[in-house]
Amino acid sequence: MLNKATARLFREDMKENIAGYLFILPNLLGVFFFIVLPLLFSLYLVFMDWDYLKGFGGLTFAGLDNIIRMAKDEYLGRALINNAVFTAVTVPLAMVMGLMLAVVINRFVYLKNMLRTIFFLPYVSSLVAVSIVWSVLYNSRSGPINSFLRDIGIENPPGWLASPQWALIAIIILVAWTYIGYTLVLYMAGLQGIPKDLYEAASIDGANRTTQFFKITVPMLKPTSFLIAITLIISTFQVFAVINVMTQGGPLNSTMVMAYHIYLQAFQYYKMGYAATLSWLLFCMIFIVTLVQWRSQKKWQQHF
Amino acid sequence: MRKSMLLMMLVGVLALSTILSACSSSSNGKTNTGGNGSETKEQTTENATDKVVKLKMWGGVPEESGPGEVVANWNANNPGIQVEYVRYVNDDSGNTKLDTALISNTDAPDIFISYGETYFNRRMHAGMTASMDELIQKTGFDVEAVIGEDNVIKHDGQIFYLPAMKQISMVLINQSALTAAGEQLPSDWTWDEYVALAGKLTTGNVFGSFIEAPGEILPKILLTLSQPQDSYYDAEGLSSFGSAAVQKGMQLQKQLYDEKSMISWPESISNNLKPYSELFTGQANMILGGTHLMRYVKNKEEFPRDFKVAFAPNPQMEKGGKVNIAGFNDLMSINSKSANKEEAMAFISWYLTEGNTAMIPGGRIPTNKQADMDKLVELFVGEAEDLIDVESLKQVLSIDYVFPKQVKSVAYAELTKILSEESEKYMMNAQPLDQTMERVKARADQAIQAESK
Repeated sequence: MLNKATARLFREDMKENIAGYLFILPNLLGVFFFIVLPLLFSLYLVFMDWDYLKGFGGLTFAGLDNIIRMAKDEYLGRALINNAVFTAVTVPLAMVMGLMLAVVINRFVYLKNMLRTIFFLPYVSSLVAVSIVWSVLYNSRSGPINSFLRDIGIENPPGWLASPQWALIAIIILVAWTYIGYTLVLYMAGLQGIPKDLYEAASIDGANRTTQFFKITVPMLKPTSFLIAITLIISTFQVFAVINVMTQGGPLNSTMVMAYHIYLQAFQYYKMGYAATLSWLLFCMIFIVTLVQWRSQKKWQQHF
Repeated sequence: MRKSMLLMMLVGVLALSTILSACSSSSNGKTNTGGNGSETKEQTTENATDKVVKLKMWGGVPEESGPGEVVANWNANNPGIQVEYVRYVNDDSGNTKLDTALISNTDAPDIFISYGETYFNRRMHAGMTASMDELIQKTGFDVEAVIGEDNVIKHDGQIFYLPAMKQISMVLINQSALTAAGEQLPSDWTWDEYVALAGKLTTGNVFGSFIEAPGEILPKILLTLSQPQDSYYDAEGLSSFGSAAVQKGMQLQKQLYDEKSMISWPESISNNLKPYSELFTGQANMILGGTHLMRYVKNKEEFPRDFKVAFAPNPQMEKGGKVNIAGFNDLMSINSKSANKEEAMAFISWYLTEGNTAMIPGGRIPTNKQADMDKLVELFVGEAEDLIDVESLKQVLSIDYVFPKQVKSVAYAELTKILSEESEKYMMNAQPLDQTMERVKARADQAIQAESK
């Protein structure tokens, strides 16, 4: 009797599962054909040379040539360094700015939502449009930024996008600016989750605002910070649109990054196999960074 | 519980079947499922298309600058062959779009225009271009009389494209600035003289010259002048970047920057400056341009100005040279997979003999040898006589030029990039000249060897 009942339950379960899978089948097919299949194909391309104009007939076996070529690629090193610098500066910058703004705006009684929307706008705007506007702002001769700098007495303002020393900094400022909205919104939500009595208790004990910020706010926001750090690192590693619109990797390759290097190889030199190899290198790097973060996340969690 | 289960399954299956049927209907156009109404509709349209051949032509010129009129002219006189023009942007992503359209089996173009031999050669080697010799014979198109056999590069003795446009490169000068400097309009000159004139035309905050970096740089231009045929490659098939012409080009361009006759290299790139806007907005008094800029020259609304533009021919290596760095372009090909090749050829033959006259006002000179020069200039100038020094334009257009020819395109895009990258280092004082010359040659040779392996 009991067995029969469990068997029936099991059958019901199966049926329900099948129904569930049928429901997600349309999406699953999409994921399979447009994500999984191209992913596997790009892995296959790592060992091939592909003249894609000839269709699948243009595939020729290349062995490890594409991987060996990476060692001789003088732009790869430059791109990796630029990527590392870009991520290492942009992510903390956006996080710190976002946190500070969140704390300030959170105190406001009025205009809170409006300010949040204003700061969030750049994040949801088209990055290409934003980049075009900023390249006008950055114009070294007649741009508003340099006009302002000259007005306040700086005689030789930086050349921004036209200068190999400043171009990467200019791009970091722009990208950090777009991400501030994102970090701000997440931090504001995080702040709301901190119980007020913690601050009350702290002020009774005589802790001032600064101490409260570092001893209560920052630690309590750790999970939020963790989420932001992971998502931002992943997306900053793939920075492309801004570079493509504003500098094309120049001047003197000072803004050459992995994603743009891959684009050049694939769509200017038509080296699909090598581009796929570089893409997998980028993937592995992001994967390792994320893995390390997950590990450390577990250690963090034990504190709570 | 049971009932709802069934219902869910049903919905799932239904959802799936709609997707599958939608897929199949788009791929072959004939579905047996679905309502009767839609089926009869499809049937009628199919019957109608039996008589009318529909051709798709892909080109890079905006529809309003000529192609729209061309297609309208043709369609009005040829009800049996209706041509549809699809515009693609002639940049990396636009060309990739055309490539994928050519690979696809549905909606593929019948006729397509490639800009420059590099893109064309790639497509030809991939077998995308149909051999045109037989088709040319059938339609009775006379290549020699219209274009000239020598102006078409054959591959294995066969024709895979026909050029529709003759682009002429020239120097555009602000006439008022020229008069103010007390200089004559040059008619036979060298690049050394260009650099000297650029110095004289530089006044206050207006530069004397603008040459678009990294697209039209002097190392590349002088190399073309010294070796019009396959300028990137030497006799052994390696790179010609070590040649004296490249070095001279680098030095001359550097001189323009050092003497402040031209806006600095990185500024011109990062601000995305274009020669025509530099000239017409009074930022520079002389630019290297060509017939493709004609539509901007005539554009008073966007570029209001109070000076005439005067035209001088391409500066040369030595006096008396007749090389023009532009040349035959708008390479028209027929898709090798097209089902209507003969109709496509009929259109191309009409286009090359008379159809492309409608492209002249947009700045495209037909390759047709029989075109009347006076009428051409008239169409070219249009109503913009107060903006153009017509005499000098006529003069520049009537010179019998030697045009560059490009048969090889081994690693061409990479070589171009290498030349501009190494030039950039020299122009920005990041690398001395001798080292630049060494590296540019070494890197280019390496790229060629890697490709031909």
